[in-house]
Amino acid sequence: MKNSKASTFKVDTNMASEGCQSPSPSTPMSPLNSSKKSTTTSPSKENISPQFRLPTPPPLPKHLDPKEYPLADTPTPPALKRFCFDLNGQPAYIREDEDSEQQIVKLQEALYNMRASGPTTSTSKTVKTSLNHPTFNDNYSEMKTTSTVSRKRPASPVEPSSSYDFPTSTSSQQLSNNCNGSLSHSSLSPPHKKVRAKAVGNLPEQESELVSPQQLMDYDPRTPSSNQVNILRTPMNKIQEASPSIIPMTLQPIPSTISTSRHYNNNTISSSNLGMDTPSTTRSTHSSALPSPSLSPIAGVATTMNHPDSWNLQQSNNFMTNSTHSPNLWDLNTMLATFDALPSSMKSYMLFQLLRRCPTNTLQYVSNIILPALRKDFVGMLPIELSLHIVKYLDADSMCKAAQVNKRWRNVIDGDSLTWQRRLMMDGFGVDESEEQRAISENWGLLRPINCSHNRSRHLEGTNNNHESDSHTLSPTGTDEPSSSTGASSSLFDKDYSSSQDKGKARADGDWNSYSVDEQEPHQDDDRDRPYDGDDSDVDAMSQESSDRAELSEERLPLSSSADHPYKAIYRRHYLMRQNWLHGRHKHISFPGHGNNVVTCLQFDSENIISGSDDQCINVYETSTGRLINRLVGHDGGVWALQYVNKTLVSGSTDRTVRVWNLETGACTHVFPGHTSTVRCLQIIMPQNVNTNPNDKPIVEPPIPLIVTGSRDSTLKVWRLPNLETDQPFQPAIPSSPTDNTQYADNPYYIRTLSGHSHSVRALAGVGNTLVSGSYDCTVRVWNIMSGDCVWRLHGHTQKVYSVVLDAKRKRCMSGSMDGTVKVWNLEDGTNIWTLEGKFTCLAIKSNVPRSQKSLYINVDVISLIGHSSLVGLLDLSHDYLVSAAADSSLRIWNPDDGTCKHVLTTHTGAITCFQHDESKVISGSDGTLRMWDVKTGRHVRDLLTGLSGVWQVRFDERRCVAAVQRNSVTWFEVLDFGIYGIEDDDGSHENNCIDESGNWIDRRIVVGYNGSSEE
Amino acid sequence: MTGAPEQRNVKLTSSEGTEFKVERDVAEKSVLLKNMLEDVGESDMAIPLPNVTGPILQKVIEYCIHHRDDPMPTHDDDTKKTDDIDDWDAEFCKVDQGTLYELILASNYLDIKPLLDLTCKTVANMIKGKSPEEIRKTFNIANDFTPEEEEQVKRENEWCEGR
Repeated sequence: MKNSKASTFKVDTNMASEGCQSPSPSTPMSPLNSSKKSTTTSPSKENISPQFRLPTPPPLPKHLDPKEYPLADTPTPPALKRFCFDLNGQPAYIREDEDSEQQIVKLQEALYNMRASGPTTSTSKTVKTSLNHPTFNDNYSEMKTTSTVSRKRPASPVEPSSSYDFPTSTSSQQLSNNCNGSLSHSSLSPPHKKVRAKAVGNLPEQESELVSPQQLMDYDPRTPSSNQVNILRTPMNKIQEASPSIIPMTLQPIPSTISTSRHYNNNTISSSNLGMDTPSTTRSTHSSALPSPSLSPIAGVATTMNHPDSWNLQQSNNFMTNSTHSPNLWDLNTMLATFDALPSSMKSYMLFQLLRRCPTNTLQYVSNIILPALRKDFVGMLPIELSLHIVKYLDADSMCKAAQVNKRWRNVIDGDSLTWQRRLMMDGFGVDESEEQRAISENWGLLRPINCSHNRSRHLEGTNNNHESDSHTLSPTGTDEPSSSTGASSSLFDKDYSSSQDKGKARADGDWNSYSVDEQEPHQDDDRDRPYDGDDSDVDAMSQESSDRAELSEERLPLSSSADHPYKAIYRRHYLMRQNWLHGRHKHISFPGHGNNVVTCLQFDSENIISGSDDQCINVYETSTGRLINRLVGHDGGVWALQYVNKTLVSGSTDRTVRVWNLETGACTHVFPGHTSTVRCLQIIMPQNVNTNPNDKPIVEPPIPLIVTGSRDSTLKVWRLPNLETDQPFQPAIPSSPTDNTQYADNPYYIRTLSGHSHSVRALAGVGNTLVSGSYDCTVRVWNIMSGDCVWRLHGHTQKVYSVVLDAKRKRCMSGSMDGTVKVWNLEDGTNIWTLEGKFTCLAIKSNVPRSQKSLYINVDVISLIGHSSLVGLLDLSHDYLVSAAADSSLRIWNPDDGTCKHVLTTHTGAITCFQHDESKVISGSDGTLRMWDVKTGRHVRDLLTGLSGVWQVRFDERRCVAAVQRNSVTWFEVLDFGIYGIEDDDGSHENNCIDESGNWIDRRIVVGYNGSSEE
Repeated sequence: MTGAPEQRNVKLTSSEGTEFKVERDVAEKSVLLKNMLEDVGESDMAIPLPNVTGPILQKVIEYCIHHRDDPMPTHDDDTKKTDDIDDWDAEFCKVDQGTLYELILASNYLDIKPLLDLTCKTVANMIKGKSPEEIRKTFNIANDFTPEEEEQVKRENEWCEGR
């Protein structure tokens, strides 16, 4: 059927012999007709002797490539292997397999015994057949040409083009199921000549009933009463005699009155032996021929009969008249043999004709056989790079489904590290090297069933199988996994596929379950030359080892790890955490801190939670347990700003000082006096490449790590960040008078003061040498911190500026103000690009201003529409979302590219006190609730915490969410850990507590004391 | 078999020897042919494409003709979306799996990236959203896992069930 496309193939072709492929429009299934090959005949049959012993199974032509003959190797469906049909009331059994020869004999005998019985033919059904002559001509022109090899006179007087031949073949058609075998043959048997002539007369335009027995008789004078009888009567020996007579038959192109002795005619005959049985390869065809005469038997007839124009059976007359031949199962063989010998185009045509004669259920049956065979195992058969090209387009879920299809798919999909790395990137999962190292050393990706309490039993079982201790092991050798996978992991980052396959193979030597053999793949023959060969370890190992399987399976996984790279495991971890966020699955610990004071600032990582409070203290907690590790005491006023990088913590306080702490020791190493009022905001600015073109030479700014502080004294100060390793502590006496600025002049860490604002500096943001500050003086200023220059002074806000962010990528900055607007400024020329307010956005304002005019005062137009209706106190830009939060109890999500407001999050009822967002969610605190939103849709996902008096601060990372809240006027820290539920470092301890009967997650808050021990 | 070839025409010969005549800009949708034509220059000689059968070549040409005015694809078109197939392309890909398979091979061989992407996307769409068993059915693939192996593989991948 591969050739079926040929019909649509309309091109210049210089292959004359192949021309005219396109079937006439009248043939609905035209595609079947055509085929490009003009193969004449295969002489292969010659060696099959045209002797006429009873059915020696005629093999299908050798070398039936399953590629070309998808069904050639298809075993006979069980239903066709053994069946019974009613032969005039007597059951006739046909069984294909065993000794099919015998079966045939039996059948023959059965038929023979039936001879007296009436022609079942009468039961035959009507067949519709009307073919267009032109069609034939077209289709067979090829045959004509090719067959003109040798010329003979047509022995038979057949009209050159009579469509009426058809009836004959048609007549063979629809036999009642019962008597298929015999009947079809009876009608088929005289496929040759005579019938035709008669038929022409008798059966004009065949819509006719089956050829009546009478008609059939007509054409075979020898047949006394009915073909049926005829068949049955034929004694074995006669049959044998008859067969030879067939031999001389030749097809011949009539128009040219040239008879061609065709090889295939000979073949046909020779294969008249076509026994009922067939070598395994032929079975399907053959067997189907048996039960449904509509198929193969007709084929034989069709070949000869259907081409009045082209073909004659030269000897048909002789045959019919002289031989004792009678319609018989033999003819089935003959037909099959004939069919085998046909050129492929002819086969297509014949099949087409056959199919036309098939009832729906037969077609459905055939279709069910053919369609699966025509399917293609793309991922399994294509060269690996093309398979991976397909996999590229799959989402992770589909990849996991596809990896379960079979071994080959598993290897293709799981085996390629780049595929999974790409997946990680595309789904927004960042991976750093430490995670890769950890994944390798901890053997992520080994089977770790996802545990949940309603699945507890399976969990335990899985744990046993995997030999994982319930307290998961961090050491690579901690498991009894086939250690080879651990060993192999050392070179895990090898991205070369073949080499990783080699590793897999090496592993197979010692480990029975490492095989991943494709033996059972039907396509393997065609695809052996693929890189995957390396993966097909020998079957022997498999069988040899299979006896050990029972024992081993206790200890080992049935299949070796499918991948030598950690990225699927890493993906899994990220994915699971994201899912846990989505479904609210977390471990929740809670601990009090800072008495009942406000937590003004909060930062955490996987080890520490650092909080600053107006109780003048900075607390350091252990993230996983909530244990208070350190309390940093030293500020004489409330702490209002802090940030740490690695182990260096910088804090600012109402005591007007900036302090630097060593987080490991808890010691205050540096004190920077200088500001004359509260230090309200600060940022550590680390050197980084600020060149937005990653291909250019990096531009590192600032040259050294800096601290920038903003104060109510309306200045900003720039400090060098002490290096705790090399720098000596610096703790000058604190000047008693706020106005005494002499001290900081001696401070080696002091760099400069940025002056210009006329009121408190409330917010700042810096990247590289560029710093943006927002002030209660209603302006935003842009500074070069290394030169100290004020680059821009941006006027536009009508009230105090509370928040600023710097968008280095787009060279813009944004500011949020008490006036309810968010303004987007262009750092290139200082213009206000848009004022983000409500729905009305994206106004470009002001013309370019010459760059030389630094500190130019630009008073921009202000859009009168209001989005936020009050103070925009919080603003953050990350992951390509700009989010603003206001006292009007709403948050807004903006597109930083065009300034459109994408979503308004409105269900809070009080001023938003804190929020954070990433590429998938926003978490906001307000009015006693900590709420999670979908940043993409603006949908309220769930409330993480409720029933609070207030939320002071919230921060989250990929795994945890830490909030400083107020419960009944006491300050608590709430840590929600989403790194559970199937994730490697999940100890499973919380499970029983956190899933209810129906499998829903319940938030169980575990209160821990200062020492980290559980108290509740 | 044709008259004097027009300047802009390129002759291609499929694996069976069938000759196709296409305009040069159409042929140059194939980077392979483009490079070849640049190397060889104008020639009456048909370019043999022994790896492509006539019917498949016909399909490929059909695609190239339809997309002849498309800009050359940018190299970094890594938006791996599969829902961006336009109607014509979708219709074009409504072929049996064998043809689709051949088209993938042919577009790879001929280096027609948009067609390769299209056909691979089409296959990916046939995989998406299906259970392993449905995938096997779709492509007539035998499951060669033993029950234990199947259980293992299932557990390996169960995390990704959107729970």
